[in-house]
Formats: sequence, C-alpha cells, structure tokens
Amino acid sequence: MSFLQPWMLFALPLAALPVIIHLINQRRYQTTQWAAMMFLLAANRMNRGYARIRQWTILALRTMVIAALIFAVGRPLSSGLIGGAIGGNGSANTIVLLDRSPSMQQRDASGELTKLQSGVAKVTQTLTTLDAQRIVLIESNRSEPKELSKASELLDVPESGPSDASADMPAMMLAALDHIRDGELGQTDVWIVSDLRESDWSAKDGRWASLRDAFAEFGRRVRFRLLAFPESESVNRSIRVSDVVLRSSGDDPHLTLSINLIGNQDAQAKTQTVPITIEIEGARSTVEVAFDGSSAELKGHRIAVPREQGRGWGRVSIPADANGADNDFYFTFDVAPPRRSLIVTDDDQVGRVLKLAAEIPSDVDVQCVADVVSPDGLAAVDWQTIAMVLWHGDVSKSERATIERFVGRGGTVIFLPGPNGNGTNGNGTDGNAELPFGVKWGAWQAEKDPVSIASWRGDADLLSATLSGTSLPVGGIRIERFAAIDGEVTPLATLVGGKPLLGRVATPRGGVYLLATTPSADDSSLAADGVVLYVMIQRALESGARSLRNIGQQTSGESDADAAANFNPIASRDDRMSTERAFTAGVYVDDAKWLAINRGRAEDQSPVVDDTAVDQLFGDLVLDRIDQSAGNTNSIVEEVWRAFLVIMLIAMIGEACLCLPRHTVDSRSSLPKGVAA
Amino acid sequence: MAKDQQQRDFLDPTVLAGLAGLPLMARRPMRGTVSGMHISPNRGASVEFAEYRKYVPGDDLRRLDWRAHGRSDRYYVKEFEADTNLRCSLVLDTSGSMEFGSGETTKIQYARKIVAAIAYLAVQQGDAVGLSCVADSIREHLPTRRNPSHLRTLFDLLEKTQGRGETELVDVLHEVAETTSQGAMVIVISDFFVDPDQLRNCFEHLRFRKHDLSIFHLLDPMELNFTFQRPTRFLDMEGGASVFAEPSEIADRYQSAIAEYLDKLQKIVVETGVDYHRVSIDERYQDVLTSFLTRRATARRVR
Repeated sequence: MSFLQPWMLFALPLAALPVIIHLINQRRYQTTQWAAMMFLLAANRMNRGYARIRQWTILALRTMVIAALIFAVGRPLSSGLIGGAIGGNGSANTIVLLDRSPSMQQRDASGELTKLQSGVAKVTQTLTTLDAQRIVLIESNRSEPKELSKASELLDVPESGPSDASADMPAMMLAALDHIRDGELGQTDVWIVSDLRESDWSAKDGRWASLRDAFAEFGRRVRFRLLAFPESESVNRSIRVSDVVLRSSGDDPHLTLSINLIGNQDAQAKTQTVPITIEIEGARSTVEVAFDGSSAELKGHRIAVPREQGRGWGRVSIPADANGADNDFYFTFDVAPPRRSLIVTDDDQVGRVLKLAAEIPSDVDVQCVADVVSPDGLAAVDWQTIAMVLWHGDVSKSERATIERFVGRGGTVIFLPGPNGNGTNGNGTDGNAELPFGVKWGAWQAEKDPVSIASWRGDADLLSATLSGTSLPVGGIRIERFAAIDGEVTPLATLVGGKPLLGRVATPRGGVYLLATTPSADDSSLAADGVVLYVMIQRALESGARSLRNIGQQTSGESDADAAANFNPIASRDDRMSTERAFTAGVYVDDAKWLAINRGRAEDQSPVVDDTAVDQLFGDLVLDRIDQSAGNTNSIVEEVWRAFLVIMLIAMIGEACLCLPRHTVDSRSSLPKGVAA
Repeated sequence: MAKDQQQRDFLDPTVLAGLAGLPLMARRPMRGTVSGMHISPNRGASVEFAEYRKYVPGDDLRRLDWRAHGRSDRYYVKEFEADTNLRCSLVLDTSGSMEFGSGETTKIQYARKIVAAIAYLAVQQGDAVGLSCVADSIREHLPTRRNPSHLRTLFDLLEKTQGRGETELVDVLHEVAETTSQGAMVIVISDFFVDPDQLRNCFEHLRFRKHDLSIFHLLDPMELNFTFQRPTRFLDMEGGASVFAEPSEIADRYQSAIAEYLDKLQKIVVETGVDYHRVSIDERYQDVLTSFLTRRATARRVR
C-alpha cells in the first residue's frame, strides 16, 4: 500500500482519539444517588462478556472510521506488483524509455491492443495517477530526450507510435544517464517499456557494465520500473526477401526472388500452406508456400517482367497474424551497372594479376572492367564510375583526400604496400608510408621460410566461407615477405607469429582494407593460388559496386532521420509522419536513388532476455518489474480511496447499530397500566 | 383556625373536586362497622332480597314471611343484603429509595398525593381510613377512623413523613396483614424494590385475610430507561454499597434485569389477584387515580 499524499499518515495517531476520549470519559464520572440498586447489582452479576466485546467493537469501529478517513485523504494506491514500491508522491522526475521496435507491435489473442499501445496506455495512466510532472520521453528510434508537458501527451506524440527500427536499449539507457547527469536531476523514476527482445537489449553488450556502474553512483535516487511484455505465445510469422536479381537481358526477362518465411513455433508434423503475395510496382501475384511453423524458403522464384523493365520496387506480404509489423518486406531491383575497378600501381606484374582478378565477372549478367593506371595518370580517372580501387604503393596527400571522398561515397579500397614506400626500399629499411584513415605501412619484413596464415575471419567479410559453408583455402597461401601495418585495423587474416596480413579500417561507409603483401611471386603465392585473391577482390568489388547502384536496401534506422525526412515515399505507410521515414518500412526516393527500408533481421526471431539476465543487467540498481501482456487493460496503479470511504461508511453504520439502545422498558406503553384479578 | 387554612402541597382542591364524583369501591365484601355503600358478607336490612331461611326460635317474629307460610304452611324468615362501610388501610413506603426523583418530584411526594386523595375520597363517602408509614418496620400508624377530623391527623402525618432507611417491605406487609382486621381495603404505595418471589407470600397472606389489596408501584422514568451518558458512581439511597458503572456498558444488562423483575411481578400480581398499578412518576397522578377508581367502580363485584 502506498499513498499519493503520505504526509497525511502523520495524522494516523488521531485514530486513537476514540480510545483517549473513552479513557478521559472514564475519569470524568459523576456521582448520583440511586434507588434501584437491586437492578444495578443484578446487571453486574450478569455475564459481561458480550457487553465488553460490544464496547471494544464500538471503540475499534470508531478508530477504524478515523483511520479510514485519514487513509482516504492520503489517496492510497492499489498495491499491484509495484504498489509498495511506488512510494509516496512519486519522484520529481520521470523518464520513459519506450521500445518501439517491430516486435512491440505484437497483439494478444483478442487482437485489441499491441504491446506498444498497452505499454504506452499503462504508463500514461500510471503517470497521470501519480501526477508526474517532469516527464521526459526517450524512444528507441532517436534515443534523445524529449520533454513532455504532461503524461497524457504520451498518447499523442508521434514518438510513441510504432516503428520498424530495432531498439538499442543500452543507447537509450545511456541517453537517460546523460539526461540525469546534465540536468542534475534529483529523485528520478525511469520507466522502461519493452518486450525484452535480445536484439533490442543486447544483454552481452559491454555498455551495460558501465551503465550499471554509472547508475549505481546515484544510489536510490534513480529507480527503474520495467514494464515488460515478454510473452510471445501468439502465432507469428515473418517474411523477408533474401535476394533479388533482375535479369532483363535475353529472351526471358524476369526477376528472381528468394523469400524466407520464419515462424515462432517449433516445426510441426503437419505443415500448412501460407499464401505469399508478391507485389511488383502494383501488380500482385500470390504464391503458396508449405510452412511447418518454424521456417520455409522460396528460393529462386521467378517473376516475369517486361523486357524494358529497369529499376523497380516490390513488396512481399503474408496474411495478418499476431504481429503486423513483420508481415511485409519491401525491395528494390535494378539492372546491375558495370563493376569498374581502378588499379593504381607502377608494377606491371602486380597490375596484371590484380586486373585479371578484377575483370573476371562472378556472374554472367555482371560486367566487370578494370583499368590499370600509374599514380601519375590519376587525373584522368572518372571517380564516379569506380566501384573499387586497388592501390599499390604510397599515397600522396592530395590523393588521400580523393580516396577519402571515394570511400565516403561507398566505394571500396584495398591498399597494398609498395616496393619503395616513403623511405622504404624493400630491403627491410624502416619506412613511414602514410595512408588515409590514420593507418600507414611499416617496414617490409622478409622471413627465411615462407610464412603461412595462422587464422582468418571465416564468418564475415572478405575471407568468409562460401554460401555452401566451405572455407576458402586461405591456409594454403605462403607469404614470402610482408609489410607491417601501423594503425588501428581489425585483422581479418593473421600470419603465424601474430602479424596481420589483411585488416580492415573502420569507416562509416565504404570499405578500406590493407593487404600487407602483394600478389607478386616474390612476395606471396596469392597469384599462384588465385582463388583467395579472386574471391577477395570480387567481394570487395561487389561491396563497392553497391554504391554505384541507383537502388539500395537499408535496415530501418540506418539513415539519418533528418535526411530521411526529405525522402519521397513510393510505397510506405501513410499514417507515419515524414520525420519517421528513416524508421518506417517502405520504398523511398533519395535523390535519384531508390531505397527500400525494412526492419532489421534480428526482429524476425529474437529470443527474450530471461529474468536472470535482466536481474544481472540491473545488478543492485532499484528495479521493479511488472510483467504485462498485450491487450491487458488493467491499470498498474489505481487510487483506492473510495474503498476506504466505503470502509468508513460501513464502520460508521456498524458503530451506529452497536450504539443503538438494545431495548428500553417503557412504563407507558410496553406494559399495562394495571392488573386486577 | 390558622392550621385549617394551611395549604398542603400534596392536596390540590381542583383534583379532589374532579375525583369527587368517582366512588371508591371495594372488589370484595368488606366488614365495616356501620352501614355504608359497600357489600357486606353479613345479612342486613337493606332493600335487596337475599334469601329465605327457616325460622328458628329466637328470630324476630316481625321478619316472618306470612305469604310463604300461607303457601307452604311452614315458617320462613326473609333475609336481605347488608350494606356496610369499608376500612381503608393505606400503607406508604417511606424507605430511603422513595426519596428518589429524577424530575421535579420524588416518589414519596407523588405517593403523598395519592394517599391524600384516596383518604379524602374514602372519608367523603363515609369510609374509615387509616395510614401506616413503613420502612424497615411500621414507623407510624394511624388506625382507621371515618370521622373527618381524622383526615387532618392523617394529612399531618403525611406531611412530616420522609424517606429514609432500608426497606423491609416483606415483613411489614405480613405484619399489616395480621394486624389489620379482616375484610379491609389495603392500598400499598411503594417502589417495591424487593424480590418479587417474597412479595408473592405477602400478597397471598393479605388475600387470605380477605383484604382487598391494591398496590401503586411507583417508578421513576430514569429507573425505567436508565439513560445515563457518563460513567457514574451510584450511591445507594438506603445505605448500601455504592456501584461504579459505565452506563453504555451496563445499560443493556440493567434493562434486562428490570424487565425480568417487572415481568415476574406482573405474573405474581395476576396470580394473587392484586389490583396492580404501575406508575411512572412523570404521569399526572389524577389520571392514575381516575383510572384506579374507574376500574374499581365498573368491576364486577364478588360476594
């Protein structure tokens, strides 16, 4: 039991007034002459048990009346699960962390309210009941504090509506922490509304530890209220397009789609048929897929397109289920532009090997072109058509800016150490060849025996395994000599001895790789064992070529929200505001580029962070958790002063009944005037 | 002469004038000393025929019924009912408890008015009246006389009576029953704060002595209702131990006790043939007396 006006409880001792008055009354006795003593003595001899109980009951009821009145004025709240924790008049500040991720749009069996709607409604109702004043909303899309004038505003602001972007709970917590620190807030309640998806909470994220420590400094000043919607028992399916290829050449122009259907149930013996609606620029077709409740894949589904079909967009959708946010997936398609590579080298042998690897297309529909130029010939290069640059040698200051612009556009660069870098002569002399992005080549190192590659990243990036799961034969490559890499890179391949052979520099866009050797026969067997080099270059080329395409595929939330506000929607929800476009699935036009924005892959099937993990995330912080379900309209806290008034009323009536004279002997009416025999 | 004109607070001429038209009648034959308006158990010389009786030597020949002799050739004496006066013995309880009164009047003041009115009415209609003031014993006693001057003596005694001492009503009533000549009207005015079972014997004793017993049971409204609000120390007016009580706690049991007592008394008076009048002293005493006299006047008399 808690109270909105707990100071009224200081008046509780007043409940003892009836007892005190009773005791005072006992001392204020009167003395009177009395004739009918025989009845008094008889009354004293009678059983006093009932009278005593009645007397005490009356006193108790009077005490209860006052206590109930005081409680009612104190505005009690119903206990609920956290009633006891919501102390007094609540905190002076309230921060609401709202998870708007697609999984929050799951509905219950009745289909009335989504988790998000239920959560927002409950928090609004609770904060209104608690009369919370300074309310700040931090929603998952922007993770920025937004001041609200009153709790009911939560229901109206677009920032509390559904979104297709995943949440980043640590970032939201960080934003809350910064807000508390910046504003030097006092007692603060942090309400978290979430469905505890692992993809949103990132329970293994290293930020949690620092967040926990930071919040622990506030002690009990900051209290967390977790309004959790962890259940996911409703049947839900999600759809995703994994691959789109447009083949407009030849006699049979068509679009090839690969569609994945994912369910949240275990594979069932009885499979069912799910109709998938495919919409290509308004033209719809339906295909039925056998689905076992767990997963299904429609691979290489061909849809005929007009011969002149160029760029286009489409959408696949499945019938409505528990969560409507993952029933659609948008995609765009286009004829692939030529993949043009630029090889900058003075070494003919290296240039030839690289050109060969870059020119052989990996797909018949893809045209690959490679130009080998020396650093002096760069002035004539049209950078807008280049997908990948293979740079062998040093980079001058002016060239660095050009490359940075190129990478910023989305292009891919692979640097290879030159034989005569800045101050280097290839004989192990120290050099200092500066590269863009804060890295530079170190000295060449030559071993007596060829060095093999000890480890490499086979799960992602350039050296990842093939789609069939077969690893690239990276271990077979022998390195005769290699240059040291100075600077912060993520090693993708490491030589025996721990030196990196291939590394990647972290950049917001594009790709920057450093290969510490060359395909020259004197340096390595990359050319002889050409598969690894070919795959590596083709993957880098494909990645860089994406920036040249005038279509794109983005995960919701990737684009800058302000820039996305200027997107022109082609196919999207009409009910979302323009400021929400970066977080709304659909097809948009960004300048001349068509962009398909969809929810993140993790949203399709993300497990729930279990209770133990949640407890560990918050550690010793003050956390009150309330598990809710979508569609649950019961309020979390509720004022129950009416109940106390009713109790008071009942107590008053009871007291009045007990105080009524039981019966009186009326000489005039109850007995006859006289009797005569 | 100055004393003749003395105003007595228990006498109200207006009330007495109002009651003068109502006779004080006995419910059973009275043994009076002179002729009166009440039925006697003896034969007399009234106009009301009673019976024929065989002539026995010594009877007055003037009372022989010659017509009966002519019809039957036997000698019969014709007898008539006798009318006599009554002896009204008033018994006034003057114990300490009679001094109680929660209102303007006390029980003894109220009793004085009743006694005085009945005595006046009895003397007015030629009946003899006497008074016994009793408490733990018969403290004062005036024998029954029918002359009007006796009335003054009675009033003087009434005037100086005060309620004090304990009640020994049971013993006193037994004594009254024995000392009063048979066939008298006995009227007891008291609060009867004694065990009803003991009263039963008294009433039966009086009945056995062929007395016409009437009782006025005087009770104060406060004694009936017990409407005290504050805790009270009750001091016994007859000198007994005091009792401290919380009225709200004890009231219901007090009510039970008094109700039980009244029920029991009610049953006893019915069984013993007592003319019982319960009087709350906030009633007008003239109404009480009117009811008393009217009922007696209209009741069927028994010989």
